[in-house]
Amino acid sequence: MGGLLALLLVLLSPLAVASEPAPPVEVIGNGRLTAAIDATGRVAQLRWPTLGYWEHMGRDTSEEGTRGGAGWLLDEGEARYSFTAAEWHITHVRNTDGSLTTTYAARADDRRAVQHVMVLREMDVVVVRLELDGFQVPVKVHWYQHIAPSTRLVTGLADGYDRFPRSTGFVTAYDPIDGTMLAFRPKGPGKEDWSRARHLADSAHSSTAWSSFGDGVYWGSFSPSGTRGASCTPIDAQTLEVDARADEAVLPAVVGRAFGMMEPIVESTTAGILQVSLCLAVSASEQGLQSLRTQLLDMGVPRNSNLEPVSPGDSASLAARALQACVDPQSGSIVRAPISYPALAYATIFNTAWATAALDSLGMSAHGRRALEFHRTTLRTTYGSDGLPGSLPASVYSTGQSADLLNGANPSSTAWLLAALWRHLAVQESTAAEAQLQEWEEALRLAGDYLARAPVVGAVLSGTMKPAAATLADLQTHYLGLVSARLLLERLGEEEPTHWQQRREETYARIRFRQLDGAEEVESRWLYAWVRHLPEDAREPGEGWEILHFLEEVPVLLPPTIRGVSKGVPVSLRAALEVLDVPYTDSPR
Amino acid sequence: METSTPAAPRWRRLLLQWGPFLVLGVVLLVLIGIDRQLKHTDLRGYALADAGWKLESDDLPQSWTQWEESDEYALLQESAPPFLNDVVLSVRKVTGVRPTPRRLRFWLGRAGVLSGNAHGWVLSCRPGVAMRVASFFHRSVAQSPAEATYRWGDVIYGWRDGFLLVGSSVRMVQELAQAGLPVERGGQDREGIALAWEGPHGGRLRIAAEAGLPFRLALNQSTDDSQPALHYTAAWPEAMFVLNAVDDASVAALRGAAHTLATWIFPDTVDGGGLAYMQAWWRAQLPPLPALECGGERAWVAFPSQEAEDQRAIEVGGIATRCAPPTASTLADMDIARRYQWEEQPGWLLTAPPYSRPRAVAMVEDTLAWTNEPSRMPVLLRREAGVDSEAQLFVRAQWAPTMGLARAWLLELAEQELIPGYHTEDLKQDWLPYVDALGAWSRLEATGRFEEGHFLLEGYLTHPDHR
Repeated sequence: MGGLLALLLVLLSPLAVASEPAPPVEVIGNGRLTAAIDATGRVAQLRWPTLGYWEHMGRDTSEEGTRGGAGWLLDEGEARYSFTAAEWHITHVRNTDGSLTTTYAARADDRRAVQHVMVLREMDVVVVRLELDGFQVPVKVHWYQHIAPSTRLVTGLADGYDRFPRSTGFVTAYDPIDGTMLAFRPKGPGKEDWSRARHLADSAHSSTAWSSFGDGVYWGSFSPSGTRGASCTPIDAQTLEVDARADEAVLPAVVGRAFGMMEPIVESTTAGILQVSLCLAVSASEQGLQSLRTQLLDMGVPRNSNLEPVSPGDSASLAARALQACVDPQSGSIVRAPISYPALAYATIFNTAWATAALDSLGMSAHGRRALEFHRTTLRTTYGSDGLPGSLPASVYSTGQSADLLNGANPSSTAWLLAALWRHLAVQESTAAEAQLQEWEEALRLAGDYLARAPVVGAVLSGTMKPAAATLADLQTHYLGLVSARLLLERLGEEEPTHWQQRREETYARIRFRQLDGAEEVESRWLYAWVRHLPEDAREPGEGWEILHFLEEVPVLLPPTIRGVSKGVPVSLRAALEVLDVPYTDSPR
Repeated sequence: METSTPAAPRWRRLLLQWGPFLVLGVVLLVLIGIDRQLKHTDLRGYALADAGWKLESDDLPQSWTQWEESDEYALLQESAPPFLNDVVLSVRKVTGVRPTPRRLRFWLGRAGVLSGNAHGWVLSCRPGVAMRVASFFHRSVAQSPAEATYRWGDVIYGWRDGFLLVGSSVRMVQELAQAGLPVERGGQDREGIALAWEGPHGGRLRIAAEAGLPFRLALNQSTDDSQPALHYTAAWPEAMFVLNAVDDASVAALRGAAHTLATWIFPDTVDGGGLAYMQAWWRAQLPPLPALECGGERAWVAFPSQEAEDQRAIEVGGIATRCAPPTASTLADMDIARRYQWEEQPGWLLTAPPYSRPRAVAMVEDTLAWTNEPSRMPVLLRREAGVDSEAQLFVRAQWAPTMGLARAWLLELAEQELIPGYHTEDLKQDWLPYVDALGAWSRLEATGRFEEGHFLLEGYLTHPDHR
């Protein structure tokens, strides 16, 4: 019955595309823990253990009207409020120590607040410090958070965390003894885990009881100055008051919900400024979290080392900075867009090819090299149900796990990998390039063989009209890959194998044949732009580039993530195009 | 001298010998008579005034017996643990008595109404002598949490006009006692068990425990009754799934009911993203279709995948009739890769980058045919000749491939942690035996039509002619 219902629903239902809030404005991190800050200074996304891995922040749930993210709520005796653009003039400044300072100036009076957010370099902790000037005393400051820890990557929908609200989060609990709000999820909790968690929550155990669930993701929030009280309470997104629908409003621990609110103690400085700070720490175990907390309290929470603002540059330097923010420090992969909604925190070789070209032109070739090496590690070396040797997944998480919804091999990815490698090496100093190429030799042969044998262009010439035959753009990409493979092999001092050559010449003829029909040129613009913007000394005459060359430069069309599912445009791709000065458009017309 | 006592008259001896049995028999007959009289009622029971759902039956014990004796049950039994085991077990834990049809009839009577909402559930039934006597003695010792309510284990009970009310809380029992609405016996849902639910897609489903498990689904949907009838219901006999409809209203009604039922059966999975994941997965295989104006009949057809190793893959397609010719702007929206001849009929082969499979679209006169598997296009174009039918919607699903698909999807969803609270191992133990068992049935077949403010879907859960 279930299968039938699902079939009916899937075939007949229009796909719901959630309305998406404005993307965050800044991302800060230490290579492991990454926090994205939205326009109001609220923490909107948390990624850990790397940039291209799990996202743990719950978003606003428009259906229930509960508030998402994490941030401050203030109460000066009347209604509770948060910092909004309507009431406050909000500015963000990036500091040279990597932290972010957000300044709030009340539009109606002279109240002023400053928030400093930093991610510690050595520890996976976000420190948020708020300073209040001119506020009516006593002022109550609350920290509200909707942290829904995740322990799995959904294949193909890396951007879709908000679509799976019931599969993130596990327990949120407040321990009044140490003043820590704990939000955690063990790896793959089953029926027994849920049942045990409910039992423990009912028995109001202290946080140490939760360590029995083993490894997973454990977030702990606490204030170094202490906490007056806390509850695991969802609040209404509009009124910011406790959601009347929440039956468990004042419980110290809840299972299956991810809301928490605490009231840290506000301290007053000698200059009359009120200040309050909060630490948001993460670890793979409850013991690890406790140890982090003890360490932090023993040594004292670090303050910003340098609050010198980074000077704003021109558009190219902003694009370069955006591109850098997309580099996953651990794996070297270039994620598509860590600070967008949806957050496209996975890599595609198409995106990486353009980003690498941009990084090379910025003199940041080391990043490009690592990014290409990351994709090399995803190259399949054996026959399998997911593809032939030499193929690679269209999209991957920074772990190397496929993020491709259909997980199918496609020759275009291999072709772009070879094209990107050849272009990258073409602008490198020759000794370094040769050494790098030696490391790629085996992968190069696998990839070239795959392109020479992939069935997508394998039919006879008249077969181009068969249903499964490649489009013009497919053929051109394939050709680009084959030409790049030959040029790379020649740099190794070897001749192109006969079967590579035959496929290359056949593909050339096929492209010529298909170019008679002008209806397919829109998808080919990327190829034209790639060839047009090749470095001068990399484009030698007589290589057949002319069939990938369009006389008139037209804007390329930015690809949607997954057509019809979400509309996020990759930040890194857009930044790369700006660095390379390639015109682009979002509109298909 | 021996004196002989005069022999008692024969009738007296017989009376002494059989008298107690006779008295017992008479008492029993009287009790049975009283029992019948007590159980006799024109009502099934009472339902909550604000019930979100109701489950009711004129004769639940009989339906239960028929179900256990049916071929459909026997087929399920071959590969699954007894259905409703959990329900039976929980009743046994509460009452101390393992429920069987006979015991149910003896203690609670034949008819009953179970209703519920977000706050809990409550059952009303008309028991006979045994339950009333037991209740009489129990009340004298039982804890009474509120006026006229009594606690028995985890449940609360009370009485209203000779009906026993058993609920999950005092509030539920009191609500039913004070403001419960009477539910009359008989009507169109006399046979079997009926489930009714409220809400934007409210409706009523009745399943009879007869050969083929005939069912009748009535959905609250007011629309114009004078829709044209279907033509292509008999086409594509080899398909695992066929849905044929004449308008959007009937499809919307069916979709709404499917969503409601799916949300009940798999609440966390539907709301928690499992459905979104499945939709995204299938949509990636089947990119958006051209938005052509079609005013006639339409059909969706699904076949098991011929080539894909992934068990989740299916080949889908369909037709739509009375379509306006595509305009230049429609064609521009279609991402046309190339024009193509399908069975010598003009059409197109479409692609939607990146990385999606091609799909095929053909236009033959005013009929549009489409599929995500171009090799299926000839099948769609050469469908069997249509047969006129009075119905406005037709649905058919082969249980075996559909359950195979369900199995593959459930495993995938569990693997992706999209079935909250369930490991893959939990799933294998708790759900998959039932999924596999349902695959033993033949095929679901039903026709739908609009009638008096309702959309009615009638047919068989497992068609008796196709075993």
